[in-house]
Amino acid sequence: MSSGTNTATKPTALAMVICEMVLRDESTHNVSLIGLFDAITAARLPARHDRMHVFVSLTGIHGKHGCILQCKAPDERVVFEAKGEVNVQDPLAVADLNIQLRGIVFEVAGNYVFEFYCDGGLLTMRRFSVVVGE
Amino acid sequence: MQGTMVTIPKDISRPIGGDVTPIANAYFETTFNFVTAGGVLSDEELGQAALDSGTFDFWKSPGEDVYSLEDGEPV
Repeated sequence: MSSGTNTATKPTALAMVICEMVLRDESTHNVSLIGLFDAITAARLPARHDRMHVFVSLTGIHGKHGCILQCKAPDERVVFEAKGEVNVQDPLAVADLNIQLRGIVFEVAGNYVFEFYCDGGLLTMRRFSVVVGE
Repeated sequence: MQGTMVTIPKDISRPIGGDVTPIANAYFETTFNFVTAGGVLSDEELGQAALDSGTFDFWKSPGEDVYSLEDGEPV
């Protein structure tokens, strides 16, 4: 899905964070990530999580690149998938992707994973767990 | 570190959403809402979900039973 305008650099993931809130200052455009977590506790299943953000920072982007974010359940089933196109002209720039998920439902407990693909290749991943308990 | 959540009926989840939209140079954001318009919880359902989630389990603590009818007169 690359535009083919650049072969000297390749997309690289600098960070992938799961958090409760992302704030972006209007004047400075600085981004603050609030409430980072890697586990969710539910009294019972299935359970809905009201709001979570997956924040991905990329660099080495030159031109258009197709990106996919997948959330996989413990049994590898895809729970959620988001597709989009990132278009950045400066390969030295950092591209931040803020993907908000409202009301996502988890049906089973266990280890889930967010996988981020760029141009069909796995770029980075982040695990988190869903736990049943008080 | 852990987030918090409430339990809900299984059949109200449907993903809706759009493409990732650039709102400024090299910053992209999008929202995916898994609650359909018809799937919004009523006040009663929300209250039941809060009860089921254990949010108010602290009321079951013996320490919450410190008052009785003898502690005062009904208003």
